[in-house]
Amino acid sequence: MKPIVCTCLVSCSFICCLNTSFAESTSEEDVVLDTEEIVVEDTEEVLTVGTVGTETPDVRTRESISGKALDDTAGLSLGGALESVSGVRAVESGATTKPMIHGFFGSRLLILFDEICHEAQSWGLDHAPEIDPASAGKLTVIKGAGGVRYGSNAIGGVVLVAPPKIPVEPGVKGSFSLFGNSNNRGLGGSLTLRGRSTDFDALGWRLQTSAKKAGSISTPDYILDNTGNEEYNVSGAVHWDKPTYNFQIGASRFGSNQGVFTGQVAENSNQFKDLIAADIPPNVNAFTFDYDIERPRQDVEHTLVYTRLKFDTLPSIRTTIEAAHQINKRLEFDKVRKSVDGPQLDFKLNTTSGKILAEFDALDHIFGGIGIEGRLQENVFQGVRLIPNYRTFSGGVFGWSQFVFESWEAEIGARLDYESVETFQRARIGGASAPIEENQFKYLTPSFVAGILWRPVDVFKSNLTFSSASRAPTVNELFIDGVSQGLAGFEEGDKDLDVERSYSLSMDLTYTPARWLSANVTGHAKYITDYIHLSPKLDRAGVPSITTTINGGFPTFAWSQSDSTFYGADAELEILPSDWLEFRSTASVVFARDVGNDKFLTLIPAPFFEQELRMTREKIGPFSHNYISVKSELNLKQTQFDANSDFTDPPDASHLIHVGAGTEWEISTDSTLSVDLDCRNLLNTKYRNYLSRLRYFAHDPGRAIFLRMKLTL
Amino acid sequence: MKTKTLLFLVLSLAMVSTSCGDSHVDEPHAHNHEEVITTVALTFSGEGDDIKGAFRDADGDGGDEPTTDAITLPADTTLTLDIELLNELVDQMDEEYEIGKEIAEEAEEHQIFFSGTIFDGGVTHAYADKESDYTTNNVGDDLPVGLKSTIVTTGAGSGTLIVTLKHQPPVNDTETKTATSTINDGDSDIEVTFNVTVE
Repeated sequence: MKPIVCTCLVSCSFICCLNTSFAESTSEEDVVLDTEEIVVEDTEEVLTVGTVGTETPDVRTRESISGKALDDTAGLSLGGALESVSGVRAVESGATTKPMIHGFFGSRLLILFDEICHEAQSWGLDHAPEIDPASAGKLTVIKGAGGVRYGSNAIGGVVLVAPPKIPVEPGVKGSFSLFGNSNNRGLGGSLTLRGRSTDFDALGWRLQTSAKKAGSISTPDYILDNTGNEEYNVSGAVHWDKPTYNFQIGASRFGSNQGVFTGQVAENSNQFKDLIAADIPPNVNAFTFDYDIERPRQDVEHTLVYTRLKFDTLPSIRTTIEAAHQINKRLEFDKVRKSVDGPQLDFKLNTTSGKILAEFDALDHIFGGIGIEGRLQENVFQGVRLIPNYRTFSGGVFGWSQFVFESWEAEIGARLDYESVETFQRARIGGASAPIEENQFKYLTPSFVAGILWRPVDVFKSNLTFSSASRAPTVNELFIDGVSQGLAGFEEGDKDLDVERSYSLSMDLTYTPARWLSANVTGHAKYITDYIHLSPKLDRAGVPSITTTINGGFPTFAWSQSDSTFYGADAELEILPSDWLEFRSTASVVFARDVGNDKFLTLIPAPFFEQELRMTREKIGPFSHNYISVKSELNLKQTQFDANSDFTDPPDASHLIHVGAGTEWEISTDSTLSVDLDCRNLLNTKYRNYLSRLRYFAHDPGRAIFLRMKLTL
Repeated sequence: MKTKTLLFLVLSLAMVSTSCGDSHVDEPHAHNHEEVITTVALTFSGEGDDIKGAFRDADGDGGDEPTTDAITLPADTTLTLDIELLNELVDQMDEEYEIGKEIAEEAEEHQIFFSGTIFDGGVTHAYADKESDYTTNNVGDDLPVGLKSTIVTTGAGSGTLIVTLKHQPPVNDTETKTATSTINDGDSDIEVTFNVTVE
């Protein structure tokens, strides 16, 4: 991702710099500049085009979704939208999805919205990131550790959610999109407006709002009762862009209310065994389609406000000062007696953070930056005994430097974070006057990255990265004490857990011998010391422990740590045999093992293969960008598992066919209307997904036809 | 430029200060026990003294192991079994203390089931209460609840007695608790096992 400074005339006398992938693919043809992608990089009227944006180039494996590819995910959650990146899968639980990179998810991934680290209750399998993908102009995935400038704990990778760019020229741009989903009879809409004042050309703004409502999901044979959801989101920002400085204020609010499938609620171990033994949910005849969201359900709100000032201290040093505050509220309502109202679990997480960053590009070939970051986080919990309240203070220093030359680039970076966690919890007995149990923990988490990119010829690019990252245990891993919702197991934390450290090597090879052929392979290997994971607790004789409660015995699961390895590869092949035909093939495999205990790890994605054939036709009468596509998705059975390590064996392999078609109509020179039809699981195949918690109880959704329309003005 | 920096700092400070206002991190809430049942107390009454036995998990799920009393019943006797359900984590004066009362109020959605090996050896169980004993019967069918039962013992023997409380609320307006519903319908709220000896 090397910025080549090429002097090409854009409109006036702008000098633009193109990132290499863009330059490569357009070297033989006219450069088409999409104004949406143009941003003022600094005031010398130097524009940055394409994926570079406000990010600095780096040598790590990163992939982005933007423009049409992002529009095609309308109606999906953030986790679902990110699945179009190879090596990224989603961990599902009914209507919620969490992104997973190479088998890592939750607290091992960093998710940033407009460069602010998203702080939420990310530890539960059913806690999806509270970010609306419709608020993004681009989604970027950085695979593997080493995102030293983004934050600590990023063992698995980083997801960057960038809002749409504010236009450079005065005026207002906008888009309005609508989608419908036949499967859950879902409807949604999103409005995005971006503009720059004609009176004050420094004043730019953006505003986005979206809403969606969906009913129960249906599998090929039956309805999943109470899986409806609704969401209302709004986000916006105001920028003041001046030659020597840039000031931004932004805010966003995410709100969702979603049902939990009633057929997955097992209050007790015997009931749970009955539910998982049944081929279809026992009560399936009573399940009917509706939009009502009843108990059990989850009510989630996330609010973010932030402000940022960027200014040039010296012509070659740009300083950024940033402050943000986030409030994350999560209410979980169980199926309870009528006399009980209110939520059973109530979490409120407040995070205040600040960052100071200085970036330099003093010499033509050397870029870099240093920064400090601080964060104060408070979690207040109310409910039955589960996790304590906590107050975390963390601070980090980081720095990186890049050396960019014609045929090679190198990067080194390092980061050191300190975290102090205080926890507060009432003793079990004594009600409001029960003594408070207090604990304090201190962790030091260093991270390091060194990478090199080599591009000896135009058609070949390779990079090799070594990185090390560490992650402090989360409060749920230290303290959780209770029956985990929906999975009839009793979870026990371990307050002696220590920091886990990863040492990883990744290699990426891209070969583009011709305009019609491109191949990419990424290999990755990680050794993680003290990898923290949840597994069945065994007594001294090696027999699984049972926790006896008034509701029967529950198998006990305990958080523990042991050395583990992860390795795998993603491969992508793109062939364009003629100007109307495109073929894409991707494959992704991950192997993971708990080497300390000589066991397999659970919830690791099985080998995954995707082939797509796309027929395109640039113009048919007034319609442009016409296409028909067929996609095949093959998910093999996960064979890397130990007998009796999970409630059931992994489900069989599944093969799904998706078809799509779309067109674009230019209403006037400034406005276009695009219409897309996307049929997922065309054959209404009955299958279960290993990465979905629903698979213990029910099948995955059947055929879903999405209709998407987008009006761009 | 300077004014902008100042404005920025003021805004940042404002955000930091609002964040510190309403938290009680170091004053945690009392655990919310409104759904919790800690104790299942059985009272067998007949001609002689009452026979009592209880399952008790005084600190709630997890923590210390619960205790279960062994129960000895006389042979060839007809006994009345009353079940008391308590939440001993709250004060005795608290309305949440006697959970059995709430079950009685919502009798149309609850049923206690009795199973175990003790019933293989001649001991029989019959419900001795109906929904209408506790609440107005809105649904129409007057079904057993199980807070009161009749137990008849015959010869000596021993085995397990499993007491299961099922919550059977309507699913999408279809009644779950019906004349034909069983222990396999609805969600378990209680499932405790007693060792019973008949002598």
